[in-house]
Amino acid sequence: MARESRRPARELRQPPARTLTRKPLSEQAFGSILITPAMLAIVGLLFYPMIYAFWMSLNNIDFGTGKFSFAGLQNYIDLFFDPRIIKSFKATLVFSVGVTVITLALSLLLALLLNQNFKGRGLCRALLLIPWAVAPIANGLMWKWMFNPRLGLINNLLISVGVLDHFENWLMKPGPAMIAVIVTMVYKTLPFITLLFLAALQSIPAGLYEAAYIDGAGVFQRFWRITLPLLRPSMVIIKVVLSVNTLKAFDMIYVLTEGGPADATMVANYMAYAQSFKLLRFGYGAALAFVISIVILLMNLAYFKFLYRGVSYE
Amino acid sequence: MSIRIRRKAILQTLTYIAVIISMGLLLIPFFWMFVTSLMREREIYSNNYPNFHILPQHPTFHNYISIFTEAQGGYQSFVNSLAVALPTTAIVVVLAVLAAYALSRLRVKGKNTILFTMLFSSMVPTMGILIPYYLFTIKSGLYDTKLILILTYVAYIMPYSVWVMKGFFDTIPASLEEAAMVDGCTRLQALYKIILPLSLPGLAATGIFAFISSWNEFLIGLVLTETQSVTYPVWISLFVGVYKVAFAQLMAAAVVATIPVIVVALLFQKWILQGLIEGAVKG
Repeated sequence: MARESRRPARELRQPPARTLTRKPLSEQAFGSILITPAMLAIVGLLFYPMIYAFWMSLNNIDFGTGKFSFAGLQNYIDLFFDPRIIKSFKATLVFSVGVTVITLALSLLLALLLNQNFKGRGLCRALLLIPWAVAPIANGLMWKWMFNPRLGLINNLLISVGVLDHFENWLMKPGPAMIAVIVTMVYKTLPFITLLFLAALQSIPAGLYEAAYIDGAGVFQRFWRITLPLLRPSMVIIKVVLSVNTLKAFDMIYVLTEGGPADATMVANYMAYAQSFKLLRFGYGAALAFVISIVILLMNLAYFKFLYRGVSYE
Repeated sequence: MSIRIRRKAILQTLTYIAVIISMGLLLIPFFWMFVTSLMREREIYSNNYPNFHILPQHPTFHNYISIFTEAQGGYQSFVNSLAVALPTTAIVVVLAVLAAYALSRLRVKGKNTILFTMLFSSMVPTMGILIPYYLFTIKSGLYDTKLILILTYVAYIMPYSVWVMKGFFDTIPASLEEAAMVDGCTRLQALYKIILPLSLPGLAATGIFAFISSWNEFLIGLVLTETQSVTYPVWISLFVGVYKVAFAQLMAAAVVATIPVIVVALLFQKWILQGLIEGAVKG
């Protein structure tokens, strides 16, 4: 080893062949220089904290002194015996499935509609960007106001039409609060998913429909036999995007219900926040956050596996 | 023949009815928020069944003025948000362009590892790293500074931006810059003069995405700031706690949070659609 390293050292001492022209940077060196700042930010500010968060989750952390005491997997074991946490997992499931199913159905319908030929289609698509653009926090407040018992639009409209006979206190009852939270999330997610569906619909060759039409296939047959099967790849992607987004939901729950009433809308992500920054149980909160992160990572991996089946990144 | 024409007309009418209903449902909440922001608090509290009305009786922009002049911290947090979002956008775009160029064009060792790292870190949910951030910022004195927000947001938005930019660079034929380099351009000049003008849509999409993400970001701001560096979304959420009942002002504040994004969205509509969808579909 030592003998081998001497030889290049001697070569280095020799004067370079071209002394007058500055030697251009090698492609490798130049590339590294370009990539380093971005990678530094990512590794230093995302990767490292992630690993450190995992280390925290293996400890009990005293809030006052900041002292760590190693606890092994105790925090993780505790999680699965904590009835509050179990309840929050259930709430997450209801919320996540509810939002995913409703958004899928509604956005597919809306995309099919907007894919028709009619005047003002472009305008409709531009209008679709408005709910998308509403800041998450503003969206939460907007719906808090919509669901306001005495003064909100929803109750007043439902009473005027005769559907309700009293001012429903949506955000103060477990069931209605969950409905409110789901509606709020669907409203925010719907436009983007509709646009994804629209893009997918437009990639279906029109010739297929014409051929089916000539063969005498009706509207519904064409939908079941052509549209739906050809949408399946986008459908997988959209389902993953939706489930990941619902698992990350935080802002709107913070303004709408703060996880209440009685933990009815306390999804796991909000629970991790509450444990860490309200109850100041950092190790425990980190453990819960880590479990959520792993679920999200697994879902994402499934997504990319689907996208890049057997394809290298280059 | 006439039956077919009539069927077509009926179908067309049904389409229009469906479009109007669905667009109406989609826009009513936003419209209601906007309309509320034009009312006086006094009007709001008498506005319920059976005297319910949607349009304000005496529309006023009073609430918009008061959140910036009377409400404590409103103006400051708006400025804070801009002071965080704009530098974040600039840094992200520059660094992402450089990294994406290298990843798309140059032979770099461990390229797949780098790309995988980017992919992996773009999936990390905020909550997963927030606790270390909190403890770190308290210890290092960066708590409640704009600097830590900018750093965090840059890191957060970077992986996705690099990914999208690389996708755009990949679609531009390498022969173009090779020709420029034969003519005596350096690599950076070729990037600046040939590649960037051609990838303007990608550049715009990345910039817009970075701006909107940092403008809307709430959770990190909520945990890492307290007084001086409170961002606008965080300020609104505090506003709910302080003035529990001032709904007209609250809605005005919410509309203000949305305006920059809507302006950007409508101005760069085409690029947003292209960038967002390709980003989501191609990864």
